[in-house]
Amino acid sequence: MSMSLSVLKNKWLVRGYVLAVLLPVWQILGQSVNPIIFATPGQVVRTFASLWSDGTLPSETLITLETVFAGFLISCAIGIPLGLIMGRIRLAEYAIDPYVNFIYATPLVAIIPLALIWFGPSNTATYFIITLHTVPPILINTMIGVKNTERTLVETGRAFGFGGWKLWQKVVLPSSLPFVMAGLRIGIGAALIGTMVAEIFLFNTGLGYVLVNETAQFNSAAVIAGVLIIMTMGVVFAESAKLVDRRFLSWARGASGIS
Amino acid sequence: MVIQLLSYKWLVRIVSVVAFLVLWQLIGQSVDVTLFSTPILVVGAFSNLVTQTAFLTDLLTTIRDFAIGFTIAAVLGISVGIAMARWQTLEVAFDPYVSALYSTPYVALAPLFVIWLGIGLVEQLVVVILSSVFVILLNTFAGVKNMNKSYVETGRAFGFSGFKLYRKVVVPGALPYIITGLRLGIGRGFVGMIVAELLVRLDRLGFLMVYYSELLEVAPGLAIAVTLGLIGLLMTEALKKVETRLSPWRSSATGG
Repeated sequence: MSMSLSVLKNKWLVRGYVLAVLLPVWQILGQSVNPIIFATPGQVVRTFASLWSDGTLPSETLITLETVFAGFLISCAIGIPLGLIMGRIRLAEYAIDPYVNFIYATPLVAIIPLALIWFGPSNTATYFIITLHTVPPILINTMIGVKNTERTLVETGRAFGFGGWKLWQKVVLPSSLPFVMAGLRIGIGAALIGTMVAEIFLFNTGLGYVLVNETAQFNSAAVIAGVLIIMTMGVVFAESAKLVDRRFLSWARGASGIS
Repeated sequence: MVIQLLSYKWLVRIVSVVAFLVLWQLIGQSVDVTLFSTPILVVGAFSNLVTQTAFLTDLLTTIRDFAIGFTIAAVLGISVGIAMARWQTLEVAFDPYVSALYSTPYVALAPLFVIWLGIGLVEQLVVVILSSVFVILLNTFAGVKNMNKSYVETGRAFGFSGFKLYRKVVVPGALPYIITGLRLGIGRGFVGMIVAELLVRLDRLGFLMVYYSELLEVAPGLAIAVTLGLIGLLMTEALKKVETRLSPWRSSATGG
């Protein structure tokens, strides 16, 4: 116990120890089992460097990033207004929520074959898949935020003479902002998932192309290199959303939203 | 009042869905049947799938394999989550990997497992487990960490310790979080299952989906997608019910 406590004084030391054990184990396992199938850390680093310097990884990463952000923006443009309306108007909520819940629960990969028939292998199909992934979390969280706006706040606003747009601007929107932010945080992750689904299954571009292409050649070092970039994207998105939350919404603790 | 509100809710929902179906039928018939199909065609395609193909057996096999994978993920996620909450060294050591893997779109990992494990049940199970285990783990971890310290102290005062303390106090205390983790995990795991079906085992459901899309047949594709959607909905709603039953004071808006 005292041992673990002293180790804890530097958590990066612990993390360093773990890495110092994991990497050699991986290297030895990879070498002894089958270096083609289980690429070693050394191979991954070399492959990563060569794919990066010949321009493959940077350009494909850029394509993926563009797709993620475009899909995310489209989804915001759909999800936020719809969520605001559904949060305020009961009729709209009940009329639309069966579809939202259904889309949310459906394994959307199953839509891929249909998207291919409907749109062909095109950008439209890609963004269709991404918005299906991304709109529901943004919409649902926005709606919950509006619905959770406290009655007393709205009534106080009215008492101060706010009505219509002004009430929205001064009361409802600020009070639902933490939930909207939670929706956006989950949404950017969903957009990344949707993009990967589209790039892997729909038509191969971006990092999805790297994954599929290198898998077909059993080049696991290159696949791992691609996965590492995607992983980094996921972590960076999640962490920067948390940072925004902490910086601007520290007054609204506890609105964690759904994911 | 409550009953009235409830029936209003369902009335609007039913009217909305019926209107949608009628509109779809009309547009499908008059504009382009091959592209849009119609609800009636989808129902017909569904009964065809059930009577003339191995759809039902495939579906049951898929669900059985999914259940195996999800059970492993649940056991793994809950026990590692508790362990990481209990021993801070474990938390510090493994939290970077858990967080990174949790933020990674699991679809991107599927191709790697084709190389590593080949195409088969093991590969599928691994994809299901990886898709669902981290959200279960993180929620369990949060549940144990956030638990009221006085529960544990009361438990100790009653003479519980070690395994008994966990069985009687810690796990029940963290249960609402664990169930939230399971609800989020079951959806993700199911997606992982279908990813694996589509990517790696081009037999069974994955085969059917690709087969019909190559024939440009929308109706059976939709029938399959809707069936999978309903199964997903059923599983998450069931766990939501358990969730509200266990902790009615938490709104379903939290978690994650």
